[in-house]
Amino acid sequence: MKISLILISILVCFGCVSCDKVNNPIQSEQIIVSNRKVLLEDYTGHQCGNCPNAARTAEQLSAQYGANLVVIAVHAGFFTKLNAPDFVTSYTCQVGNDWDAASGGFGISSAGNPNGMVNRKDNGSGLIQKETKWGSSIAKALQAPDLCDMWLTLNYNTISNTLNTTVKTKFKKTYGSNTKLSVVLTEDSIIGPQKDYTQNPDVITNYVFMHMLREGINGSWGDPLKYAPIKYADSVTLSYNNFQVNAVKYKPNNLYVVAFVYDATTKEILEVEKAKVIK
Amino acid sequence: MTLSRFFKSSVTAAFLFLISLKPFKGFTQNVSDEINSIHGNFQIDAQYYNADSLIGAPKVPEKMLSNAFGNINYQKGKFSAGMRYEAYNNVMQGFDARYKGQGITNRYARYQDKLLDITIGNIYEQFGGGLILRTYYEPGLLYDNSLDGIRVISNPYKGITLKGLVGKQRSFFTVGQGIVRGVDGEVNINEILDSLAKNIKTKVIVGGSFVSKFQIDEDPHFNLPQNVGAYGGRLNVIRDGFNFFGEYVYKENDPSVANASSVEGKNYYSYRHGEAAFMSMSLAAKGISFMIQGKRVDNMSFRSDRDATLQNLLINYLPATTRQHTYLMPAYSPYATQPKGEVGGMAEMQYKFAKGTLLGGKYGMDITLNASMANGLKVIGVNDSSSYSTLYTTNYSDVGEQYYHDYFIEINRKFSKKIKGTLMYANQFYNKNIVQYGSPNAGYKNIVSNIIVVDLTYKYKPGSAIRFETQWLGRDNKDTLNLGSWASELIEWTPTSNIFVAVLDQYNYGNPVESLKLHYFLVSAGYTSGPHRISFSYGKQRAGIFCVGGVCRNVPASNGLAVSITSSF
Amino acid sequence: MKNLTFSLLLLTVFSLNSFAGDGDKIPAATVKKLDGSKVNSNTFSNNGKPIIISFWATWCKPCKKELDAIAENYGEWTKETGVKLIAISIDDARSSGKVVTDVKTKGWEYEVYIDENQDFKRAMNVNNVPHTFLVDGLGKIVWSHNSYSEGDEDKLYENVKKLIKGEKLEH
Repeated sequence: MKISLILISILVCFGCVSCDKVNNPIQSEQIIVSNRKVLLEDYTGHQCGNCPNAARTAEQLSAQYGANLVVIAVHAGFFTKLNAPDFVTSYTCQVGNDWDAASGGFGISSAGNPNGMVNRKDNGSGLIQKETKWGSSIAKALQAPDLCDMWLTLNYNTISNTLNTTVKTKFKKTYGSNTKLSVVLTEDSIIGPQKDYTQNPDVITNYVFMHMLREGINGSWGDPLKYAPIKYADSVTLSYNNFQVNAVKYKPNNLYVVAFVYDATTKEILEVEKAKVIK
Repeated sequence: MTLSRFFKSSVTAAFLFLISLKPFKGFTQNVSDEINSIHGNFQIDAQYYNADSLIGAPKVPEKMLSNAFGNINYQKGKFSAGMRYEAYNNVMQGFDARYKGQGITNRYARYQDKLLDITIGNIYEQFGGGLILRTYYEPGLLYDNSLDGIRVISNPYKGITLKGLVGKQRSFFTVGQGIVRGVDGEVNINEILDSLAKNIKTKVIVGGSFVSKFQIDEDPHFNLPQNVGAYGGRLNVIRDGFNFFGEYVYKENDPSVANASSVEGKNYYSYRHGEAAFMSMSLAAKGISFMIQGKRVDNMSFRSDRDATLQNLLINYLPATTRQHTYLMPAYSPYATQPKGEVGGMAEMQYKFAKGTLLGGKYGMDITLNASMANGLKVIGVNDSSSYSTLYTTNYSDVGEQYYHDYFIEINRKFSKKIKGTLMYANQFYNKNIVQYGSPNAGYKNIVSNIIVVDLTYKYKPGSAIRFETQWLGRDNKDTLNLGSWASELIEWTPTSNIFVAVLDQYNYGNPVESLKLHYFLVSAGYTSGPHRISFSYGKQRAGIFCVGGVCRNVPASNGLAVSITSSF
Repeated sequence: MKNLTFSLLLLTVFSLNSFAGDGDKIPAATVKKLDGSKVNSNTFSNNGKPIIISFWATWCKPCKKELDAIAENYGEWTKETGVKLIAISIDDARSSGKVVTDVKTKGWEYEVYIDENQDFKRAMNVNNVPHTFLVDGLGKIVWSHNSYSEGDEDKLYENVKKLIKGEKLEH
C-alpha cells in the first residue's frame, strides 16, 4: 500500500508538468549577427502540391537572414515526374538525383516532400527536416563558431559561354577530418507550371522557381579540399576553368555559383558561398 | 544523449547479468510451476527488382533489397526481458530510407508481481482505446513508435489499475527529440464493489488519462509551447451481448507542421486546441448482431516532435470508423482518419440464417450489411490576423465536404461438404484529394467505385482444395488520372494443407490509355511447416501512393522475385 | 559494430541456457475478457486437458475460416478429448467492438479474449495471424502452426488426439 501511495504522488507530480499556454505566438524579431553562412536545401518537385509552402518558408527565411543564408532548391524524386499536358519540362539533374538517392544519397524523397536539410546537420530530430524546423536550425547554425572564410571569383565569357571559377578558403581553426569542396550551378526566375494545393485550381502555370539546382561543376560530391587535417590559417585555392555553360537551356543572367566545404565523413557543411555568374 | 546512452547500456548490463544467472540456478532448482521460457521469431523479406518502365517500376541500383527482424523474449518467473534486431540492406522500395543498416532497435527488462509491474527499455502501451496514447509495433508497415523509457503499473486495490510512464519515442535507429510523459487510471466498478456487485450483470469500467510532451522551442520567429498536455476520459459499459465504449480527449495548443498553413504567402501555425471523441456500441445475440461506431476528430495530430510527419513519432492512435477490407479490390482505395478534422461513423448488421431454413440451407448462411462514411469538419475562418493564433474554428452542428463512404453486403455460404463461397458487393466513394494529398485543391476527381467479389473454395478431398477468386472494380473510364476499371482473377491450389501455389492476374482493362491496358501477373507459392513459413512470388505489383498529413510517399510499382520467410520458436 | 558485438554476446549467453523452445509455459501478459475484466495469460488452464490457443482478428479472413471450420466439430472435439479453444483477438480500438458481434453471430463457443495492444501476441512471438498453439495438460506449449489452409483443422485435431495418447506430434 505504501508503494502505491508513493506511486500516486509521483503521478500527481506528473500532472503538475501540465502545459504551456501561448497567448502571443509571434516573437519580437531577433537579429542574429554572424559571420557564418548557412546552406538550406529544399527538396521539391513541380507536381508536389505542398512544396510551394516550403518554398515560401525559404523566401521568408532568405528575407530575414539576407546574405547569411544560401538556398538551393533540389528537384528530385517522385513528384518531378512528367505528365502531359502541364508538366512537360524536366527540372531534375544528375547532382540532385544523386543527393536525393536512397542509397548513397540522403534519401529525402523517400521520407516525403517537401523536406530539407540545413547544413546537412542533425538538429536533434534528424538530418531530414520539415520546413517548420528550418528556422530554428538556421538560427542555431548561425550561432555556431565560424570555421573558415571563403571567396568566390567568377569569370564568364559571354561569347564562348565558358565559366572560370576560383574558390579560396582560409581556415580560422584547425579541423581534424577530411574536407571536400562542392561547386554547383543554380538558376533563379525560371517560369513553369507548379502544383500548389493552396490555390484553386491547383496548377499554377507561371510559377517562378528560385534557387533551382542545375548542374555540378565538379560532380555530385565535389573534390577533396585537402587530404591532410587542416590547421589554423591554412589556405586552399581550387580553380575550375572553361566550364561549358549550356546557354540554350539556362539564362546566364540568372545563374549563380554556390560553393561549399563539407566534412567528407559526416557530410556536414562547414561554410558556403554564393556569387552571381554575370554581375 | 549521454543520459540515454547510459540508460541503454545499463539496461543491457542488467539484462545480460540476469540472464547469465539462469544456467547456474538451473542445476539446483527443481521443476516448478514457475514460467521459464525463451521464445523468439524471425521474419525476412527480400525482393529482386527488375526495372519496368511501362508499369513505372524504377531501376534499383542494389538490384536486391531486404527487410529483416528477429525478436527474442526471455521469461523467468516474474522477470522478463527481450530484444529485437532489425536489418535493412537496403530498405525495400516504398519505405523511408532512414531505415538504413542494422542494429538493436528494441530491448527491455520487466519485473511484475501482484502489486507492481515495472518495465525499463522499449515499451508498448495503450491508454484506453489509444486516442490519447498508443505505442505500437507493426513490422509490415515499419511502424514502431515504442517509448524508450520507464513504465510502472500498479494494482493497489482490486479493480484499480494505475499506470505511469516517461520516455522518448523510437525514430528509425534513434529516438525522437520530445519527451513523453503520461499517467492513466482505470477503475472496474464491479470489482471494487466485489461482494455487493457480484450479482450485478452490468459491468462498468471508467478511466482517465493525462499525457504531456516536452520539446524545446528553438524557433526564432514563433513562441511555441514547450509542454503540450492532453487529457481524456473513457467509459465502458457491458452487459451480456451489449457493449458500449466511449472515449473523449482534449489537447492544449499544439502548433505543429500538421496544422501549419499559409496565409497571404506566409506560413503560420494554428494555436487552437484539439479534441477527439470516439464511441462504439454493439448488441449481439446468437445469430444476430448490430454495431454502430461514431467519431469526431479535430486538430488531433499528436506527436512527440512537432515537425514529424507521416507515421513518425505519433503519440496517439485515431482509429478509422470504416471497415478494413482484405480482398484486393475493396481495399484498393483504403481510408485513413484525417487528424486535421473529420466526422465519421459506421453501422453494421450481421445475421446468420440457421441450418435447415430456406435461405440457410443445410449448413447455414452468414450475411453482413455495413455502411460507413466520413466527412470533413465545417471550418470557419477566423480573422485574427494580428496574431494568427487560431486561424479557424469548427462547427459542431454541421459537417464539411464528404471524404469517404463504403456500403457493402457480404454473404458467406457453404453449399455442400466440399463447396463454400463468399459473395460481396461494395459501393465506395473516395475523395482522392483529401485522403491521398491532404488538400481539397489537389486537382483529382472524386472516385466512385462499384466492386464485386466472388470467392469459391472447392475442397476436393480432405486437406486439398482449390480456390477461385474473381473481382471486379468498376470506375469512370474517362478519368485519366485514376486509371479506370480493373478486373482480377486468382486461382489458388492447396494440394496438401502446408503447400500453396497461386496465380493472380490484375488487369487494368479500363485504363484510358490504350498502351497501359496492362496485365499484372503474379505467381506465388508457399510452404508451411508448423511455425515456419516460406513463400515466393514472381511478377508485377502495381504502384500505390501513401499519404498522411499533407506529406506523400510513393510506393512504386515493382516487377521481380520476392521471398518471405517467417519463423517462430 | 557495437550492436553486432552485443548480439553475438547475447546469442552466446542464450546458447548456454540451451533453448527450451517447445515445452515452455505460456508467458505472462494481460488480456481482456469480453466482460471487460483483465486476465493474466499465465492463468489459462483446462483441468489437465489440452488447450488450443488461436490468434485471430475480425479483419482476418483465413482466421475466421479456421475458427468456423473448428466450430463445426467443436462439440465433438471437447466430448472426445476435453480440449478447450481459447481465441485471442488482436483487434485494436478500430475493430475490437466487432469481436463480440462476430463471436455471437457465428455462435462460437470458444473462450474469447482481446489482446488490444498485442502484448500477448508479442510475448508469444506471433508474426502474423492466424497462428495456432497447442498447450498440453501441464500448461506447456508443445506445438504451433502459422497460417491456415483447408484441412489444417483436421491436422490440428489429429495432434490433439496424439497429445492425449502421449504420441509424437506432427507438423
